[in-house]
Amino acid sequence: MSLGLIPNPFMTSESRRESMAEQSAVELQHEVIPRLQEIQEKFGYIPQEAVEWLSSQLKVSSQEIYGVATFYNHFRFNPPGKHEIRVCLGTACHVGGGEKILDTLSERLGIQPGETTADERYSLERVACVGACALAPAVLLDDEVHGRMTQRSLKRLLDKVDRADKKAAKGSDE
Amino acid sequence: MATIFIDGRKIEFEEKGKTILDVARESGIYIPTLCDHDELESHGGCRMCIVEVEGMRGFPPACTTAAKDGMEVKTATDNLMTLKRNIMQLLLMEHPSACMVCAEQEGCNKYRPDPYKAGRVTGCTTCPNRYTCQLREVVEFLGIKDLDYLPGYKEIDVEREDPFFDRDYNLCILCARCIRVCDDVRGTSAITFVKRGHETRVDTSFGVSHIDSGCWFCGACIDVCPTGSLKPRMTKWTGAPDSVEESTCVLCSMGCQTQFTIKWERVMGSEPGALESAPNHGHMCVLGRFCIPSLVNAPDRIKSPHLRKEGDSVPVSWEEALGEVSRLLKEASPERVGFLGSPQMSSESAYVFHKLARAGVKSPNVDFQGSDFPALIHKELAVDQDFARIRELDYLKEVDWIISVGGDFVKDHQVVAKKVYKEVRQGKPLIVIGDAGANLHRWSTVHVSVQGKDIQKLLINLAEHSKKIPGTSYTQAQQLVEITGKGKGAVLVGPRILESIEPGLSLRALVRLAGVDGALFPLFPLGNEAGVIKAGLRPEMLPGPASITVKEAKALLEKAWGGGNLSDGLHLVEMRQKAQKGELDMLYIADGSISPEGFEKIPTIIYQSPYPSEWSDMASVILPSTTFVEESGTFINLELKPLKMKPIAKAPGTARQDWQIFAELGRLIGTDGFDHQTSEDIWEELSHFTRSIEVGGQKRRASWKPASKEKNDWYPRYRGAVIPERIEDLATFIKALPRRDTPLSDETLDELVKRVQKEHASRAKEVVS
Ligand code: SF4
Ligand code: SF4
Ligand code: SF4
Ligand code: SF4
Ligand code: FES
Ligand code: FES
Repeated sequence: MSLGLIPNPFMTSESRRESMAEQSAVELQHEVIPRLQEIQEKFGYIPQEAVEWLSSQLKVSSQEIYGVATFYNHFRFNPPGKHEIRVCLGTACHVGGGEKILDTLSERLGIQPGETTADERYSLERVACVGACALAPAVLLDDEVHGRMTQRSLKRLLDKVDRADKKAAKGSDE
Repeated sequence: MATIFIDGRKIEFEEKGKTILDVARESGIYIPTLCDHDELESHGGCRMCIVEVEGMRGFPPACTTAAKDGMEVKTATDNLMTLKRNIMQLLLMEHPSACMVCAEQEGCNKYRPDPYKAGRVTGCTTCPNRYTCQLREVVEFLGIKDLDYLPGYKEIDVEREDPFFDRDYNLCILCARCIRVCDDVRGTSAITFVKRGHETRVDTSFGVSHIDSGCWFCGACIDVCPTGSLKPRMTKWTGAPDSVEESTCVLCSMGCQTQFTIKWERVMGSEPGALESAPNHGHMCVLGRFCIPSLVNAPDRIKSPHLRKEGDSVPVSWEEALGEVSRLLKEASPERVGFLGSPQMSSESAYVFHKLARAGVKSPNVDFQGSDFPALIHKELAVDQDFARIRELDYLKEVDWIISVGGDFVKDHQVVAKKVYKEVRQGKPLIVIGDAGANLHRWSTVHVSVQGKDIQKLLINLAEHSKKIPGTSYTQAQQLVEITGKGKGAVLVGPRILESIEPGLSLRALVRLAGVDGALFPLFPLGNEAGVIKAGLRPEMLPGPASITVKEAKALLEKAWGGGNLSDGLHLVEMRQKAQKGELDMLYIADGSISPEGFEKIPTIIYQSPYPSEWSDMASVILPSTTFVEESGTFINLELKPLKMKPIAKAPGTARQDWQIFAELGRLIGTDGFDHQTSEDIWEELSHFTRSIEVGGQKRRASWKPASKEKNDWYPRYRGAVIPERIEDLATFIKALPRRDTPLSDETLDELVKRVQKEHASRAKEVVS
């Protein structure tokens, strides 16, 4: 059964309304989103197994569910890392070099935005304006704003977190 | 009648749900389109078809705007053309456009006509779509000669991991045709758009392979894609064909009309025929779409006749081989010779084979593997003369509900499945009894996983509208009775119905259930079962098919053939038993797919096939025959419709058509009535015999099940060639099927959370340690 939702890159919402194309299974979409929300609440993210499970429950293909899920920004598909890093790419931060900061982080952690490191210590995301434009480029580490990031201050910030984690790990071993 | 003006032309049309685009096309007015496709519902995505309509604000897309009486439409004003060029320019920013705006394009096309094999497509010259590209057509129509913006390459990895076709989404223009055909037409939903806005791309859930996303490799997405993004790996670089010929695929009983691309007198590729071409209407399955060239061009095809001399099989001339065979056949004692044909022969070949056995050699021992199922269908329908129930698949539109029994038809009859899905999508109830894979889980209104013997009880009770139905819950039973209680039904029945205790009773219950105006679709698994049964290739049958017990039929045949052995003989299983006891002297076998087990003791085996098989090593004589793309003849499909096979490719070596070999042998033996010159002569002769079947139960036999090495009842073969053994991609796909067909989960969300978190924790530990 089709969800009748094919996100259309060319189409404005207005022309979508005008369209003669049938949107027959819109209700199903309404059914999918609350279920996805429930899943995200329980897991903290949407694991692949849950999409397959939901597919089986609703008799809708996994691809369609995943398609709907990725259309909305508020679903994530990787477990949040112990430390969540969000790089601002709002206008001010973009102009201020946010992309470079993101690339550096991507390289250092070995993951793309939206992913979590294998040891689950870090997850990386891009966000739009976090309201700290005066401090562009801004990075959020565990919901704390760090402004005017440079390559050097970024390195320092992460090194600090790594050291603290190591110490904590040792402490718990003893 | 309503009237519309397009570019000043007055056009009359019927208002019923037509769009401006429909009306324009009907009257030959070209409006460029990218996302629109004849088979798909309007999408309104690409904006390439925008028009101006008097009194309407903005630029509505012609493909989604209803045509109304009195409308005045303009399709190509300066304003529109500028807009369209702008849209296209934006599109070309991310499309390999080097060749489209190259000044040398014309000369390049003329002097370098073959495609350049390339890992990455940089422009039309290196694109497998270079001969027919809808995107380029539109670019040319718009007259774009230069780029307005600097182009960028999307840098997406080309996906080559899955069987059969490559996906290069660097060429993708996001028209969604592939997704729509897969979702809405094939009912598979193996692909989707993920993300949104600039990041939108075609993908699967979590980027899993197509094998795991439920793809059937039907190729429908390739056939609708307007760019070179999706291409069969095998035929990507073969270049322009010398010709394109339409003929019939015989790898299952659908009989798809197929467009074969021919180059160097060989089949290089196969695509579905036109949308309006019945029975498949522009669709095919993995076998027909991707496997035919490798199958028919196999280097190990038998190229010349062979005789066993001093233990070795050596190539000889046809004259010598046929001389030897006719001598053997003449000298044999008729009751001790067996004739085994193939359900993948033409009906004509099966008929001449039958005639050679009964009239030439005077032996009644004729059969073919898989004959039980078509024989069952014919015998049971004869009881009340219900043959009119076997209808064209388009009749699915007329029925009120559909029931499937005896096999997962999505697997072995993908094109039938496509037609069923069309109805299911519109809300027609589908009942599935027995096996169900992922598609049927989603499509079915009620699924009862009853197997084997219990099917019979279920069907009989259901036909009596009783709510006591074994294997079902109370609500299911109620639903079943409610659905089947009204109107007329369509029955899809597969060969596993033979597993019920009295298959005849089960089948008749189904026919009753469907009602007088209902329909029956027998899903023959192998190919031309219906045609070979028409030739009567069973020991208790005569051409027509007729029963040997019907006097008039027998008399008619005696007159036509001038005599022959028209009594009952041995069937496949009995031949095997006799052979084991050493009571069979000779076997003429034309189907290498039959297991040779039990036949080892036969002194003389004549093996005729396009392909070597285990039988080659046992045979005294080997005769090379042609495949379905090299012969002429008739194929009767599951709708009992005759479809023509045409010789469109050259057979290797000196291989001959099966019927030519049989007819020549008939002449050499000295029997009259073997002077057929063409397959049409034979068809004409065969058409004189009509159905005349003695009412009576089917002898219970165990010969229906095709031997399968894998534990998978779908393991396609063609005359001794095991297709997945020859085509690795197909084997990979078939192997993955059981993994995909897992039953629906009955876990609760909390159970799922527990399970996943546990698995997750143990995985995380592995990473850390
Ligand atoms: S898809 Fe069409 S336009 Fe694009 S490179 Fe291939 S042939 Fe050229
Ligand atoms: S090959 Fe068929 S099933 Fe697979 S993605 Fe394409 S349309 Fe869907
Ligand atoms: S792959 Fe082809 S059919 Fe699919 S969206 Fe892209 S261009 Fe369209
Ligand atoms: S559905 Fe049957 S006839 Fe059609 S392409 Fe597939 S194997 Fe050939
Ligand atoms: S743009 Fe980054 S904080 Fe506003
Ligand atoms: S064809 Fe009309 S919008 Fe694409």
